[in-house]
Amino acid sequence: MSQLAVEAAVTSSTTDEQFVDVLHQSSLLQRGLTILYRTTQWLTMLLVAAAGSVSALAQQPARLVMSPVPIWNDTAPPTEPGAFFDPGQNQLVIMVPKPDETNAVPVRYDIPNAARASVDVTVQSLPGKLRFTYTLTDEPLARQPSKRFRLLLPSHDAGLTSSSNGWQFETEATALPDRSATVRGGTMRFISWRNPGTTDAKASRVILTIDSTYLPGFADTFLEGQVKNPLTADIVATLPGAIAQAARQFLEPAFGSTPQTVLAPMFPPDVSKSVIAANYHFGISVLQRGGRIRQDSAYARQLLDNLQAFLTAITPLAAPTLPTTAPTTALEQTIQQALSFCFK
Amino acid sequence: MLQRILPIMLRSLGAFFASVATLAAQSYSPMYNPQSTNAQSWVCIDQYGQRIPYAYFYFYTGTYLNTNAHFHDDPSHPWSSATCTTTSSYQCLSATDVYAGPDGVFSLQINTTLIGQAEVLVITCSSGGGSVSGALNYAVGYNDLVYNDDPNVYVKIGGTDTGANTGHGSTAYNRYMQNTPSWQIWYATLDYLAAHPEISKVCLNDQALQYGGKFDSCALGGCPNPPYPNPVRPWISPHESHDRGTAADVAGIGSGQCANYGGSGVNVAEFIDRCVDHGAVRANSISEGNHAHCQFGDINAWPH
Repeated sequence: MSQLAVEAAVTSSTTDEQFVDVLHQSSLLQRGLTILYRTTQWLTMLLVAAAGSVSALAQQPARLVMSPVPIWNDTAPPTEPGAFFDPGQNQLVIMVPKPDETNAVPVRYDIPNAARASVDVTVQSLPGKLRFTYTLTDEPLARQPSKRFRLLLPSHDAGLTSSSNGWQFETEATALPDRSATVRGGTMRFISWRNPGTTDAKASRVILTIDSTYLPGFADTFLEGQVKNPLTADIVATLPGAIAQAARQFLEPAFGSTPQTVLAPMFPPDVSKSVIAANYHFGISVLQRGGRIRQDSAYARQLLDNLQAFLTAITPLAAPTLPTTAPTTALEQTIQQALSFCFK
Repeated sequence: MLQRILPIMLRSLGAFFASVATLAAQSYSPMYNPQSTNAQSWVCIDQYGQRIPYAYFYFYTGTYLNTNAHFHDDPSHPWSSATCTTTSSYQCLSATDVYAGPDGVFSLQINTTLIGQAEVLVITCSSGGGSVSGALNYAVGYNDLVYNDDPNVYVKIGGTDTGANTGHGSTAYNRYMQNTPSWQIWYATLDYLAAHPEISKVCLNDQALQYGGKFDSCALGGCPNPPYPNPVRPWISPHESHDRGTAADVAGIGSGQCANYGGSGVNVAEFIDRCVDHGAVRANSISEGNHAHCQFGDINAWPH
């Protein structure tokens, strides 16, 4: 499966429709020229590929990899100092300058962003609190088994408790601002569960739970895979300035792990409904963008319309109107239930 | 233009979105600074784990509506552009489509605007056998602005809940500041209140939006005309001095909005003096008629 900040799945063969989309901004003449130009380019590329390897013709795109630093080239390795990402090994390659000014030498660190897991969420009402249950299962083709699952949540949820079937619970303070509540100087914290095992066994139906009085909203999660030689802040601190700056990007959650969005305890019960509504509008838009909610979902469309109307009302409304269209998928049903907790 | 409007409308593109994108509900990571250039390298991998030489890519950017408290929209809504670069690419056919090099890699840069918001880069790789798409969610803004309110000394004004709709929601959204300035104005307030025992709370108005960036307080109108030829001014100044979370406005004597919600207007000149006592920049801390504008940062230190 995919790496870094991008997950992708193979779509059907390239269609004319997709090219038309690219050409929307062109005039008819430009379109004709562009198509002709592209055809020529394609033929050139195909000839190059055919000359190089017959098997290359059978190559089909399977995944995209993005890197904030240059990508390592195995056939023509860089010799100058710098930081590179090797997508084949999923490693950051640091070309360390040598004092004697001979060629720099590569030092490799594993980046734990190749874990992929499905995370199913349920939100259950218990007396005086809500229970959030996450069921984590590694995808069969994930290139790293899950090692740590982190949720970015408001640090002021002092009553939050957690349990799991074997994974160790941890918390970690951050300086990231809390945008989910009106708490002076509020910051976020990571709550996380770490797989205590050291084998390469994939995670299967790991149950992680949180109990909280906070209301559900969409939160960032970051999944880290198990690796042998991870890049750490201590290592980055030893690197020369420009290289350290480049390498440090892989300590960022978005590049050093696999982001996802899930429902989690985000809002104190007294928080503004508009803060909640904005969070849901964004979260659902992102889920749609990522294909986890269908683009043509009538439920999502109505919900987004209702949230939009609430957020942009000239005269403030008491609360958003919940959709009258029934949710049709398990995820939509969970969202509907979460909304009912927030806006009851 | 239409290509850029499509994502904002979140219209269905059919199979194009059969891919799974990354997700970030609060847009904390990555967050790119406003008006910055951010390099990326991309590579398309085949079903055998091999790079695809000379793969064809095309891409575009979009924005998520209603993020960073921009509860307004119009056709002039700006967001970042992504542009092909030749650092790694074999050939940039245009700004937004490209052939990768023989190592399968192409490069682009995301050029952010002054607008803080959540955005997305959508990218598709094609080769003879098919295509694959993905998306990178990111945000534009600053990750160091915290909520700043103390109900013991402040009354919040300037939002829909106090009758002022600037297109940025309630008073919960216009009060994010960097940590140090948030304390500086708090101490200035304490000093002012100590000198004026007849009042107990001042009215704090615009600080910055959650991610910072352009606080287009005239997005729906409300700006004087003149000096502004168009009182409706979305996505642009005034208020550039509120882009970085180093400034706040304090209502002066006579503010109806302040009085209506239980606060007391301040003597503007005197309050500015108290701000300067606690680190505000004198030259940039000014009377703006009905309020004191206290600026605790060098306004040339960030793009605006």
